[in-house]
This record gives sequence, C-alpha cells and structure tokens, in this order.
Amino acid sequence: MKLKAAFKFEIRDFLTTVFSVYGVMMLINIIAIVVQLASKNNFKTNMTLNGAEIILIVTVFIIAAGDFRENFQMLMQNGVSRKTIFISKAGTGLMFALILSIADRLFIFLSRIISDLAGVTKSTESVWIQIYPEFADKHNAVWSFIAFAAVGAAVYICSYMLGTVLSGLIYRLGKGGRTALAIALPVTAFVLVPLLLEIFWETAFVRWLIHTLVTILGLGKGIPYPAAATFTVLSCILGAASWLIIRRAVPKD
Amino acid sequence: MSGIELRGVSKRFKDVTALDNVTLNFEENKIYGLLGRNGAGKSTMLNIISNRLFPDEGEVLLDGQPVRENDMAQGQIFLISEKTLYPEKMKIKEAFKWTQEFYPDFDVEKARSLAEEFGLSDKKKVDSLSTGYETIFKVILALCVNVPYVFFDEPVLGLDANHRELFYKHLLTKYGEDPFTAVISTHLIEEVSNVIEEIVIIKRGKIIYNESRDELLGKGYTVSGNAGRVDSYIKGRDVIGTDSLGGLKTAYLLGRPDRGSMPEGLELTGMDLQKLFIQLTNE
Repeated sequence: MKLKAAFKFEIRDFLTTVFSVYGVMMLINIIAIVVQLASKNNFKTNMTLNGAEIILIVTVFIIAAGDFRENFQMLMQNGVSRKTIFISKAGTGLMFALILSIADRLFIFLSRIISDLAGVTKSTESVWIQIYPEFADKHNAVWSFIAFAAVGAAVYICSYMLGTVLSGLIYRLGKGGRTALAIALPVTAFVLVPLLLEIFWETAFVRWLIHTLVTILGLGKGIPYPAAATFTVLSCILGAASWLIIRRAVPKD
Repeated sequence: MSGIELRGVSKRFKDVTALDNVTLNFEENKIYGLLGRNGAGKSTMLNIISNRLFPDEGEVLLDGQPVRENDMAQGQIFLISEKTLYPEKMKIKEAFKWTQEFYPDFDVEKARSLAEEFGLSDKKKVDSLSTGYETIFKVILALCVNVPYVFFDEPVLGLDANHRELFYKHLLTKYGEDPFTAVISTHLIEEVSNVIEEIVIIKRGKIIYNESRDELLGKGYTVSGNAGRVDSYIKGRDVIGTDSLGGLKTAYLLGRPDRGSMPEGLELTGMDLQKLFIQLTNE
C-alpha cells in the first residue's frame, strides 16, 4: 500500500514535464519545416534538430535532482520507510527509462514522417544514429529500434540515478559540505579536468583513458551494445550509492 | 504487550543526550500528555516512534513488532510536528488527497468540513499559511487520519483561544466516537490537563513520572498563608517548592495533607498540574 502510494507520488509531475518537453521539441520541428517551406529563394535549407534525446536526458536529470528533499520529507511524513522510498525512486527511474526510450524512437519516427510529407530535409535526427551511423546502416529498422531503445533506456536511468545521488548528497550534507560541493563541481568540470587534459594530453594515461572510453561506449566498433552495458552498470552503482544516502537520511529544516 | 513500547531507547546528538534509556508504554485508547521543558527530549521521542530518527540504543515496538523501517507499523502511526514536511507549493486539498493515498482510512470529507469550520481554505498552498493556519492544517490531518496512534507535537502552536477550544472539542468528540491513542506534547499544561488521562513527564531525556493524571495530582497539595505559619507547617515535610510574595508564602508539598493538624490561617488546596510540573522540573 505504501509502496504504491509512494510510487504514485514520485511520478506525479514527471509525465507532465517530460511530455511537455516532447511537445516543445515537436513545435521546434514544425517551425523548422515551416521555415524551409517558406524559404523565399526556394533553396532547401538544412535545418535539423540533432540529438533530441540529449534534451530529455538533461530533463530527467534535472527532475530527479530537483525533487529529492520535497519527496523524501513528504514520504517521511506519511510513514513510508526509507527502503520503500528507495524502491519507489528506483522504480520511477526504471519506468521512465523504458517509456522515454520508446517515446524517443516514436518521436523521431513521427518527425521524419512529417518531414517527408512536407517534402523537406528530415528535421530530427537521433543522437544514437549520429554516434553509431554504421550500425543503423547495417541493421534493419526493427533491430535498430530495439538496440537504440536499450541504450537510451540505460542512459536515462543512469541520468535519473545521477540526479538522485547528487540531490541526496546535497540534502545529507551540512552547510559547509554543500558550499564545498557547489564550488568543487564546477571547478572540477570546467577548470581542473580541462587543465589536466591539457597538461597530460600526450601521456600514456590519457591515451589509455580515451581508449577505455571508446571501448566501453562501443565507439571503436560502432556498436551500441557496450554503451548499453556500461550505462546499466553505472546505473546499478549509482543506485547503490543512492540507497546508502537514503538509508540514514532524516527530515531536516 | 499491546500498544507502543519503548525499550531502553537512548539517543545522543553530539554531546547532548536527548533520551537516556527510556522505557515506556503508550497503551491503546488513552489520551496522554507528554510534558517536559524545552530540550527535554519530547520531540526526539516522537520522531523515533514515527521512524523519522533512529535511536542509538533500544527499540520501539508496536504490538510486539519493531516500528523501525516497518511500513505496516508506521501505517498505524501518524505524527504532526512543528516541522511541516509537506511540499511548499502543495494545495491543502491535494495534501488531503495524498494523505488518503498513504492512509486509506483518512476521511477527506471530514477534513474538508473541519477546514471550513476552522476557516482554512483548501485552495491555499502550504507556504502561504500563517503559523496558526499551518498548525490548523496539520491538526486537521491528525484528526481525520483514523489510525490507532496519533502523536501531536505542539498541536496548538500559534492557535488563538477560539481555535484551541475547537481543537480540544473535536479531539474529545473523535475520542468518544472512536477511541484511539492520542499523545499530546505541549507547553500549555493547564489547558491540556482537562483533556489528558495519563501524564508522562520527561526531564533531561529521562522519564521522571508516568502516571494517571489523578494519581499524579493526588501526590501533592498546596499550602498558602502567612510566611511564618507556612514555614512552621512545612518543617519535616516533603516540600518540592515554594513561592514568596511579601509576607505571604505558598508551599508545594508531596504527600497527603493532614487536615486535622492544619493550623488556622493557612489555606489548603490541591496541586495544579502546571505548578506541579514546574516544581518537578525546575533545575
């Protein structure tokens, strides 16, 4: 009973937000098509909305990151155990990963149909096809659909879990910890990492790192399966981390 | 043992011992007053019972089952506390709806009716409520949740006299119609003394009294009058406190008065709960 109610509470705004984003993306598509059709000198402009999935991945991260405190406290107020809170969060992430990965494929398919009917250059391209073009060429539409949906689902749940872990960590930390994190994250991402890469670019370690990334994402062989596996493993690790954060969390001012 | 049982519960926050080996039982279908000074450990105890905090030692059982991380047990417990844990942008009517999701016996119609009676608009958002109306909102939830154990931590915070009276009236009506265990933690001792049956007094994390109201009040009496006469009367008796004003003195004593040996000019009265509480918990 509590699990069902907790799950319902976690997903209450998710659907609205996510499908609003799809709505906006479709609107942008339509605008792109209209601009091409209305082009006065009649040449075909190539306006493409690339990597539509990236917008959703970021949206999922932001939603997961934004609602930890509010949801956790509401569930605590209503007698939900931390174990059930964790299961409802993981379940929400999984459910949305599956829904969105399929919705993405349908969105792109629909966009292409609209472009074809309008007689313009295709207006939306999948980020997975852009990353793994050879795979898409070599396999039929059904298998491509399944494979890209799988990698999409893995990335979505990873994004959701990352958002949950970050927001949970911020919730658990004291004021000093939050300040330190707020400084450390952007400094690491935008200063430290680029600096280290600049200094150590030619080193064996960086070459190894790049090689590892290429391998675990399947970029070398142009296949999405390793990426699906990698993001699934990352999701499990982040899931375990989120449990460690939730299991001792308490309501706070 | 049925009811909610605390067994050897201790809780420390850094250097402060909030609860010190507390063993206590909240029986079924009684109204308790949980009294204590600021920082005595009342809220900590209620938060541990409702699984919001974990004890460092000991355990809390409900009908023999641990309440910690137990959805079934927590489904029989509801706590309203000073902290408002509802989302700030949630409307009152949504809060009612969601409470019913988590507590299926929650009476939404009664909640709406009480909201109207208290003058609370259910279209308002939680963060737009004043302190008093935030308390009213939480009190309504507690009165409509229909679970066997309801804990009220400062249920009259910010309420005017009219609303406080309305709260006590509805509490007693509900208790009369459908008995449950209510534990009220409050600083307004005299007001709540007419409502409570059992009293638990906590001081520096330890339970110092756990008795029925009548038993506790029967433990003592008050003697007032000329300071000199009072002083002679109280010699050799168990005095827990005195108040002086000019030449007049009031003494608070434990035990039963010997009316036969009461000197003239001294007035004998019963102990009132607030005065007894102050004397028992003074440092």
